[in-house]
Amino acid sequence: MYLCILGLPLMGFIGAAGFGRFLGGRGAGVLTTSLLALTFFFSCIVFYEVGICGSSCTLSVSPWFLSESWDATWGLLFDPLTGTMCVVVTSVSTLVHLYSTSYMGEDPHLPRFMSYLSLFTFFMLILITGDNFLQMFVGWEGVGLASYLLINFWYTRLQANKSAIKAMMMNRVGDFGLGLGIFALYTIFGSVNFESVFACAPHLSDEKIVFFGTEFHAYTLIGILLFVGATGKSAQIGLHTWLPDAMEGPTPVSALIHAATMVTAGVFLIARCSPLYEYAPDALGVIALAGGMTAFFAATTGLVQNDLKRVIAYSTCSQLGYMVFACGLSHYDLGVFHLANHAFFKALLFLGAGSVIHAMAGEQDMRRLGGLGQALPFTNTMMLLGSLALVGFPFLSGFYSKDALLEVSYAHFTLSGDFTFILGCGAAFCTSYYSFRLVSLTFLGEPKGPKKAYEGIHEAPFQMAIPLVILGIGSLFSGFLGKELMVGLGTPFWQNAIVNLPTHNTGLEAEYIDQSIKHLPFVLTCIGGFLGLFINSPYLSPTVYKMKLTALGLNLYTFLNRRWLFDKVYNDYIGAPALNFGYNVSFKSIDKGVLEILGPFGITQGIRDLVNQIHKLQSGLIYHYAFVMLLGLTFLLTLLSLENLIQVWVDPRLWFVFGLAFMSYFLAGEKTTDEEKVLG
Amino acid sequence: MFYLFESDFLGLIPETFLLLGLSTLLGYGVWYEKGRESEMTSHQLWVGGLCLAFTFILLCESPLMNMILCFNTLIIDGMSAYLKALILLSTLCIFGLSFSYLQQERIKAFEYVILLLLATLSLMLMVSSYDFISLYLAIEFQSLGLYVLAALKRDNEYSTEAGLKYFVLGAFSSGFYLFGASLIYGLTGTTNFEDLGILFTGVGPTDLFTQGSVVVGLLFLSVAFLFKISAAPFHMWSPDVYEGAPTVITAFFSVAPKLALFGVLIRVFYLGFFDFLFSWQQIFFFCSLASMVFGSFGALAQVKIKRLLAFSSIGHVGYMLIGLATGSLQGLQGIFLYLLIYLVMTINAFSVVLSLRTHEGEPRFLLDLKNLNLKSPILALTFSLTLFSMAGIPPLAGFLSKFYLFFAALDASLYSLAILGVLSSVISCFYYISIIKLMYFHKAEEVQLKPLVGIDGQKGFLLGITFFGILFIFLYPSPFFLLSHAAALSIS
Amino acid sequence: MNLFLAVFAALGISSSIMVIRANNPVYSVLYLILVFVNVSGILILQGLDFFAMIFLVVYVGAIAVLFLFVVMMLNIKIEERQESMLRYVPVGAGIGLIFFLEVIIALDKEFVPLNPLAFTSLDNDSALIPEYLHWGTTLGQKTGIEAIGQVIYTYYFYYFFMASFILLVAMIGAILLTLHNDPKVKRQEVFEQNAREFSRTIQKAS
Repeated sequence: MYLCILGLPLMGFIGAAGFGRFLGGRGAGVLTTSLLALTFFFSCIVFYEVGICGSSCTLSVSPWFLSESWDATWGLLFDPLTGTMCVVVTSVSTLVHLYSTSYMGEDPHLPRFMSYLSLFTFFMLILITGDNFLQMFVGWEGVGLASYLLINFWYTRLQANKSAIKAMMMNRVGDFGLGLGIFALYTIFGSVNFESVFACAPHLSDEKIVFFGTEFHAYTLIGILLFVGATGKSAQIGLHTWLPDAMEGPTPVSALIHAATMVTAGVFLIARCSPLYEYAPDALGVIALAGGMTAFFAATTGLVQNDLKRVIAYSTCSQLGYMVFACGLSHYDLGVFHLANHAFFKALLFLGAGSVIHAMAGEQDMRRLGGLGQALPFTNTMMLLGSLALVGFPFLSGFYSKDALLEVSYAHFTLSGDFTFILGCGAAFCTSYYSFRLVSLTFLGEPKGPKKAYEGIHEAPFQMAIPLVILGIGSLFSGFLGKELMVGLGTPFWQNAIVNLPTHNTGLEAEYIDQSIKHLPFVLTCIGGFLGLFINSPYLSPTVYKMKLTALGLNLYTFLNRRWLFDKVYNDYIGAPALNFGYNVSFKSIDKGVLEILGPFGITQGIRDLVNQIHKLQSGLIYHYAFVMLLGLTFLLTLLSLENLIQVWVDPRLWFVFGLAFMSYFLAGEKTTDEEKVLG
Repeated sequence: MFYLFESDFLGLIPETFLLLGLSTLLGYGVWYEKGRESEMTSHQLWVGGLCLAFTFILLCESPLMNMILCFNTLIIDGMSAYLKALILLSTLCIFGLSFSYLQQERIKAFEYVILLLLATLSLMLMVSSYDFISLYLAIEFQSLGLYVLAALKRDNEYSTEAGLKYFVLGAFSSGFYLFGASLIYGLTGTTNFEDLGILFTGVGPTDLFTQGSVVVGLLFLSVAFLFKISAAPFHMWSPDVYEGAPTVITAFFSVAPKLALFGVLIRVFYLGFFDFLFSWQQIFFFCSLASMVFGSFGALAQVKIKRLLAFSSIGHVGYMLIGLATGSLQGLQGIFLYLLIYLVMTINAFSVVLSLRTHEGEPRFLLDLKNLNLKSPILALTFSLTLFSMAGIPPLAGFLSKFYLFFAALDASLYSLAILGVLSSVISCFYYISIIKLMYFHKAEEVQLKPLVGIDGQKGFLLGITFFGILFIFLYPSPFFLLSHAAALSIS
Repeated sequence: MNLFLAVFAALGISSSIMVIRANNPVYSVLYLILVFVNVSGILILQGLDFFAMIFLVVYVGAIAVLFLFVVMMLNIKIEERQESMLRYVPVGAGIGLIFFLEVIIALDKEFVPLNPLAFTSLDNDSALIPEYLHWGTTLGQKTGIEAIGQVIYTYYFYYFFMASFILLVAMIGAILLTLHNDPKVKRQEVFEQNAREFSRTIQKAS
């Protein structure tokens, strides 16, 4: 059964990819969806066994490569964290599969799409079930690949290509950090197995490691490096720019990968490494600060975006910030809980948006929507439900995790705690504002799109509606159902999957903070929601427009609308110089210049010249031959009798120079090189 | 009654038999030659071959495994038996190739056979030499025979030139040998290898004498030997001589003297001067490196078949010198194995080259190999596989030998030699494969292909058996491993 | 002794240089004879009187004179090669100097005993003389020819054999390379020529 969880999506991928054209779009859809449903079923059993019944288990599948003390095996680790993630991933994935069969129904490449989705699910499951860092890394890279393929699914669109490449590039930066982190782990622990590493974690917490010539506290360094990986994958501030652009992919993809599952891998990573992070408070501080900033920054950016999906994307980014700062405040359980809740309502929002887009024949710009409330009542309901869950309306799922989050951050009473609390509250306000702005612009008000679009409008078909309904239910109740299980003091649910030092836990303090503070997020949410609804209503919009035209308003608007100018900075100060360097320096002068001359061309030319030289040496004259013999003899004599003298002259560092001398095609030069090698 | 050399001649039975046989042949030839020149050489070849075969049998069946003969001037041991057997085999192969060649080239001198037999005898004695004087005499004996053989086609200016060059430069190297040997004699008062070995026991690299005169003598000796095996800085004569000498003689040159001289090198340096390992290791290291480089780069520039084969053999010598430089049992075994496989490959290659003859004469240029595929597919296949084997492409015999040597080098921490050996064998691949390209992939031209002269039975037999060896030695190499191991064990 | 050695050696080397430097080949051969004479002088200084004589007889008496005949018969022109030689002088001199210096450095040592063990095993009075130098006491007093004959025909008969083989090869080689078996070439047929009758040979043409 455990293996089936991995095997079935893989089977779906192989089936849909390899035999897709025999199955057809529909067949591939049915195949993959049913396999995924089965996987989901198994995942639920696993969740029951592992999480609720508390019997974690590991599975050693097969050896991978062994070398001395290094052993990497394919192994599966199922603990409550994995179980929770499994359920989240497979459930959303199943629903997205189902949704896609209809949403992408007209696409001729549906089998490919389905196969990619299954591939993604497979890699995601590898990521979350791996029992060592290496295997997790495989999954990590695999989901990156799947994400690339899916963003680029409509590969004829230039924008999609660019976004896909951007996603890949940004993730590379993060992966680099992750890779370094794993190396550092290996140097400290001599193993990459979770069990060994985490078991040793409390005992090696004073280790130092030298990195770039500077000595660091090993755990802090490892933690930060791993967090760099998480930053890339989870779109934290700095490496977040790919996430909004990734919305170029088909909407189900956005729902599955760029909202519910893959982007949470970073959070998962941090939660998984909690035994390490607990001993690296500095790394935690960095994480908390980065998370808080992301939450706030993304929320403000989301305020003024006009693209339907982009708003939700920034919202995702912002929510990821929440999860990350929860982890940074040592409340991994809350982070994961928020992750699970977020998966449901964000998938719901995306799928709802997809439904709108589907209905409006591909229109995504909110300024050209409006008044869809009457036309699409079901979608409207679902979107509203999702938005409410997102903003943390009481007793919906977001409420349980987000408010708890803000409470513990306040109760933390540290710099990072206060910082995140303030930013988190600001973000909550903004979240509420843009959520209701979205609802207002899309569903309320008067129709602003072309008439033609409105004529073809239709409610979501059955296959699209089912996932919406299920996700809606999830959004409604997941928080309520999970809150006692996953969050709070004394829950045995997480067992050893998440380690939390007692000194770091502020769950108890959070119960005793001021009531006004406790209510503050909710109040801000309400204000934000009302503002969002009213400012964007047709009655007030001219006024708002005038406000926007004032100097301050314009500046602010541009600043926010252009995403805090991150892209511009990246393009101008990193992208352009890098490209410039790449073309002028590394390509033109190094690759085509130095290497080409030293490499292929130089070697062939050098060999040709050498051959000619040797040929010329073969003059046919006896006294030349005798002279060469004498030369050889003299040389050997020098070699033997002046050995001590020459040895001074032979320095390994000089070999490079000798190599260059060889390159100068001078025959005598070549002999010198040989001589050096003899003596070295 | 007591005789000083009572049992020594028993140990020398193969050589004595060969000597008596060739003397008989000589008398027979002188007596009956007049007017019957054309049949004479053929008869002589048959009888001479028979003589060699009997010698081979006598050698293999000899009950005396280890013996020191003739008042410490000769020695019989496993290595000498192995190398002598190979030398005899190689001469037999040359005889096999000679039948049609002598006819086609209209060489009617029966002395050819006598000289080859004498050269074989001298090589056998050389392998057995145990003393500087006997070694020198054997070398001179051999060289004189080879000079004459190189100049055999006396109306051909190339051949004459080859003989002359070989003679002059050979005299030069003999001078080196004598200088070195007399230096060592002057220093130690002995010329016997084993005595030298005993005398030098425990002379470490820090000793005064490693810096001094012994090493100079050693160097002169090694230069003389390296000249004879045409290792790199002393290889200059070999392309010219190989090209000028009659092709069969070239084949002989490229195999038999090398077999014997590697025996001599091993004998001198492993038996007599092993304690100077760190000195002579450098000499062989350098020469091996230079041979590999010159062999592979020099061959790239060649347009003539025999010159190319000469450079290829220089390269092979370079690989074998790797084994010598290791100073280990494994290296020796590698050399012996390499010699065997080299013998097989060279005989095969020369058989092919000799079979390429058209009615217009012997092919000299590489371009004559063009479209061999169309002329004779089997020959083309054989030649290309042989070349692959020489380049050391895995499932063929050549790979086995190189592989073994490189491993020996790695075991002896001669990493740079092993790496450069592999690199130079990559470069050598280049020209081997360019020949294959010529044979197979050259654009067929409109010109009428000149048909080849048929292959006679003896050559066909040799081609077949060596090709079989090249193909299948890799599958079952244990007998050859055992043989070479036994030969190597007798030294260390 | 040493003075003579120096004189002979110097003369030998300088005349050997003249052998290759002389423009006239006849002079070259004459210088060669001078070299041989000097070498035999050195041999006499070493006590090898027999070899010195053999050297003179064989090289000067036979080989050099033969050379002289051949050179004179071939009528080789005096060559002009001053320029081409000059081209090689710097390189050749450089390499030669290095070579010479290295050999000098390597060889300019007292020939001390090799094996340290040799000291300990000997008596005190001859402590510095290694064992192998005691040959003088073991050898009987013989003339050079006698000694050579005794050794070379008994213990070292192998060398004698080998020398004869070398001569055999040389002989066969010389015959092979020079004797033309061409039927067109007229040969001397002693018997037929002697037996030929004048009356039968000359016939009147009709």
